Amino acid sequence: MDNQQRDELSRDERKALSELQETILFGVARYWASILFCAGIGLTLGVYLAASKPNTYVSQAKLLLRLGEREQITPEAIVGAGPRRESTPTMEDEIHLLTNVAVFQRVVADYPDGPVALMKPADPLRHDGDGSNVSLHVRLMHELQAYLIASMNLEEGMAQLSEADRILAATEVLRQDTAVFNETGSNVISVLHTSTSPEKAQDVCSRLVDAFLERHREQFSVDIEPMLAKLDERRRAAVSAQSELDRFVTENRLLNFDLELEEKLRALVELETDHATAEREFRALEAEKPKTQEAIRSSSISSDALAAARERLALLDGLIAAADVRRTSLDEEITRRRLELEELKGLEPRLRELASAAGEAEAEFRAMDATLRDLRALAALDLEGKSNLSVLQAPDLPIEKTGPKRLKLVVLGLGAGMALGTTAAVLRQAFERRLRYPTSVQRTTGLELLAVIPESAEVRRLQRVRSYI
Amino acid sequence: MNALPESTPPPPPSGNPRRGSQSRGPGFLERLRKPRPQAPEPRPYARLDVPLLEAIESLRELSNDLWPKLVRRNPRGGPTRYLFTAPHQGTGTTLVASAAALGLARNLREGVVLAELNTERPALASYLAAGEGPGVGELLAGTAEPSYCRIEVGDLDKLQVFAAGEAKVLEPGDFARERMDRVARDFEARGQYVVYDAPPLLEYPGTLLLGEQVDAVVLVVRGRETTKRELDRCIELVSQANMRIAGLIFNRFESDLPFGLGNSG
Repeated sequence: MDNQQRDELSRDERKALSELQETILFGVARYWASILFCAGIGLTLGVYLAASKPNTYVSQAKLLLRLGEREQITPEAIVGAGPRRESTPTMEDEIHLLTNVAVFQRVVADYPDGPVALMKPADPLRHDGDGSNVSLHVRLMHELQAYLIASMNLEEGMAQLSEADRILAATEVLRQDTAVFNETGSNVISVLHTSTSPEKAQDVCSRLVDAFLERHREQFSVDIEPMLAKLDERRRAAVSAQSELDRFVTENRLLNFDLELEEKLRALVELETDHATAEREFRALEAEKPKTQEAIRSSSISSDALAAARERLALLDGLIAAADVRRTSLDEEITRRRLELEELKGLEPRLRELASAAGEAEAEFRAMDATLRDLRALAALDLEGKSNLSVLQAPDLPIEKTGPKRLKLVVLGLGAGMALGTTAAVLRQAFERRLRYPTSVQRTTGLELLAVIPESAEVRRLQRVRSYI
Repeated sequence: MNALPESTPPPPPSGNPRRGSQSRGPGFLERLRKPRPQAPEPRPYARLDVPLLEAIESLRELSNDLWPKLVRRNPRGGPTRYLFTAPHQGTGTTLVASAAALGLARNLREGVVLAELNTERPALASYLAAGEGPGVGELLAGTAEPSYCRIEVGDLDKLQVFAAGEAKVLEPGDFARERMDRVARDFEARGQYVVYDAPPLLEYPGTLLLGEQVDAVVLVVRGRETTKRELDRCIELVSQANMRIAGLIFNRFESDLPFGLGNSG
């Protein structure tokens, strides 16, 4: 954008801003009476709202939550089907639990004199009797509030509803008047209830606290009765698995299976070693016989050697036969031992399977038994009324009122009236079709204003001359 | 000049046919037949206590403030010609144009012509209590001579006023005819300033045909009557006719704001 365009844009912006300023200024100046009127209406409305609302009081209580074993227990963990929860319930979870609508309904249902008594504001005139130091304007304000409360006809309106609808209506009011929250990082839950009298605020807050504690206990209380049957079932399963294992071992004489297997393997190895030795001896003897025969037939052998050789030859047949017998017997023994070993190895998978099943059943039983022991201890705490949610601060009796902010209402009413009046004035000025002000005409048209002729009697007389014509 | 009562028509010039509401002056053929009168007497008028002048004198803005803004020499030579017009009737164009012409004549001591062109609703003659008589309408129709139509105002010999004359409907193109040119030339010969009080622009767009007869346009608006849209439309029309706008006059201004807000005057 070049400088000229920038200047034009800047001029247009200035012109627009100037026009806006003029519209606002002229609108306010021209319709100041309307603005004042609207401000007056707003002020009156603000005063009415401020005077008609009864005082409100807030009772506060605090609960401390310590998340422990009970809050982490799950059904799967009890039956040993899985690990405990890895993440503990959060404060938000707890607040969700406590602020469930059913809790409030319970408070409403148990409230003395019924839901209507809970909804009905306290009598503003209760402290305005003879002898009180209440000033006149306060007394008048209380009269107005009492009149408005009476005109609401709450009892009559609620009487037309069913009991369930009354409870629902009162529950809604109770929820609106109650705040339950905790600060980030804190284990303290604040409970605030707003009501139209200090005593009622404290009473309702106290009932709410009791209901919250009860709800927490209900959610995290431990009932081990259903678990005992499960434990017994686990026990029977473990016993059955062990019995089957024992029967298998007995039937197959596998009392020391591993030891026996090891021994058989060792014996087999020894036999095979002996067999190899016997085989070598047999081969050696067989190889020696032709050599001895060769030597005997040799012409160069001496007589002593010849005699020895003949003697040896006579022995060799026997030795060869004996070696062969031993070799053959070892071979048969090896074959037999191998068969035994195969039979033994064939029993191993089934043995392992039964042993594993018995071990698992036993482990499950023991785990569940240990868990139930812990739960018995927790159940004992429940019986004593001890919970991980406890009262840190009982509901207080508020002395000072917390609302309504009467001055704020009055000021807001006045401000709203003025704002509305000003807006209407500015809009009316903005949409003015006719020319009224020379400055505006000069600014919008950019033409030189040669003269501004005011209204005068002489000009009007001249107009009458024209009209007469 | 003798002062005449307001309702009395001016006497006819000696030797001439009577002018006024019953006579429209000699026609063209008649002028051909009859010799032109020598030294014709203008419509006599000597009273200053007439509504128009009283109104002008009563307001400083009209009597003193307006005319200096119009003092300007025509760069091409010749008289300076202004056209006063407004978006609609009843804006006060006649009053303002009259005030301008009066101020120029009185203070510059130069010849000034004030011509009322709105023949549909003539008012200048009655404002000046000059009675009925021929005027610009008759000049344009060629049924009167300028000397018969001229109105003198008191002792302001420098100011020559030509009222609209008899009321008649303005036809489209009335200002485009050759006769208008001639009438305009006659006006220009009579002084240094010519002030036209023209019909309302939005009611008679033919006013724009006077573009060649004027040097600048003065727009008159009336407070709380004229709308923004009407003014914008007038400016648009004048601009499209390539006419220069000398300025704006805000008439009948009455402030409803405190502290003089909104008034630049």
